[in-house]
Amino acid sequence: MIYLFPVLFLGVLILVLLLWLLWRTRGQENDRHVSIEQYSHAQETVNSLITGFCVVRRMFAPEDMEFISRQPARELTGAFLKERKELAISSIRETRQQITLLVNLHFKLASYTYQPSSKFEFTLFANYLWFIVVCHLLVFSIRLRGPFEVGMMLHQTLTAAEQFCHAVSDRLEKTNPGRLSPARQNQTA
Amino acid sequence: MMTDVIWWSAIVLGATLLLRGRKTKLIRSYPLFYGYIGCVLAIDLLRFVCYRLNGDFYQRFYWYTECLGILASYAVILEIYKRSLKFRPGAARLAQTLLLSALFVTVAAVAANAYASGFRSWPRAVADLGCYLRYVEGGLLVVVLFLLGILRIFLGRNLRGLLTGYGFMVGMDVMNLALLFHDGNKLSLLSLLLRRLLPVTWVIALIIWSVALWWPKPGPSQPVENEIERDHEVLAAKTRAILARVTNRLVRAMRT
Repeated sequence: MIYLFPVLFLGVLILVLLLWLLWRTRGQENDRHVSIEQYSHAQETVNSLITGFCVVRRMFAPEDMEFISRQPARELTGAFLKERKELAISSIRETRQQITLLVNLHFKLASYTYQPSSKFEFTLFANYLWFIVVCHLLVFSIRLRGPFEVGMMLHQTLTAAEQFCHAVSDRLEKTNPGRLSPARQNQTA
Repeated sequence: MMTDVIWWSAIVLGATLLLRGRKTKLIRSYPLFYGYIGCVLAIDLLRFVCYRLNGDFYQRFYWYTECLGILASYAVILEIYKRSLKFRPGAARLAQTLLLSALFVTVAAVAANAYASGFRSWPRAVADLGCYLRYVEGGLLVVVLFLLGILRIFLGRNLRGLLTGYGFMVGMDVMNLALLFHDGNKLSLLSLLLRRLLPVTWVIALIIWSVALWWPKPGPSQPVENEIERDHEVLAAKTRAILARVTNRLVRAMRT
């Protein structure tokens, strides 16, 4: 029995990874190159994300809530809480989507380098999976407890997002834009 | 009856794959893979002849040829690594060293084991080699599948099909090996089912390969990069030529 499970696991893992690879490389013929437009857009996204993190942090800061709760109108607190909750969730979702796009681009650009570091890519991918899980948990917590009670989780999420941005930024710096495919070709493909 | 159908389909598919590979010249791009198919085909035909002519010799012959088939199967994983890392020479060299070391260690371990038991049974040693090499192949496949998935390396239709068929075959085979020696009642039923499915697995793998390798398609390459580099070089050369001509005219004008 001890012998059975690791080997059985190996067999199942091969089949699962195979399906994952087929899914991940679907339509690769049309989408294998990174265009100059995508590259420029990624640089803009990284810059906007890095500068936008302080805005997201401010959105979750308790000072606004403290100020609103000092106001005499009680219904104002409820409306503010509802509005801020929706804003926080939408902001987290948007950050997650942008990070997903950046990480995908990062892995695409990895195949442009002759010596990609497998260890680094593996760690980044594991961190990315963890980031996605934490993002979902964060959205759930915001729904449950409101945007002002998730300080630790928010800090972890934004720190992870910042790390991704720096990793992508580093890769963008090390990529030679002259090797990217022209934008027009990518659109017609 | 069913066994015969499977057996003949495998032979026909294998032969078609080989002939098609020769016609499309894919045999030159994937020599180890086609070598493996040719080897399996030749073994199957020889076994068939041997079985018809001399049933007693067949058993011994089966195990001698099994060893050859197992080693040829290992060549396919070498081919997969070689082709997918074609444009990463450093990584390809490292992978090749690792693959050959793994093969050497496995063969040495089986030989040491057989030596310790006094070389009593050749079939047993071959069965052990086949079993351990399949596990090694399985482990190496996991690594290559993971890396290709993570890095999204462009494989091309041919290599993707080769990898799919091989991965499916090895995955099923490894699961079959896990259940083969198990005695539990519930699992032995599953084992029996897998055992019966195994020849069909081989036919399915052959079908996948035949479809994927019917036409040659571009494999892992960097055409755009090369094209751009070439265009850039052409542009640079043209600019240099124009500059040289302009300088020439300027010098002439100054002289006159």
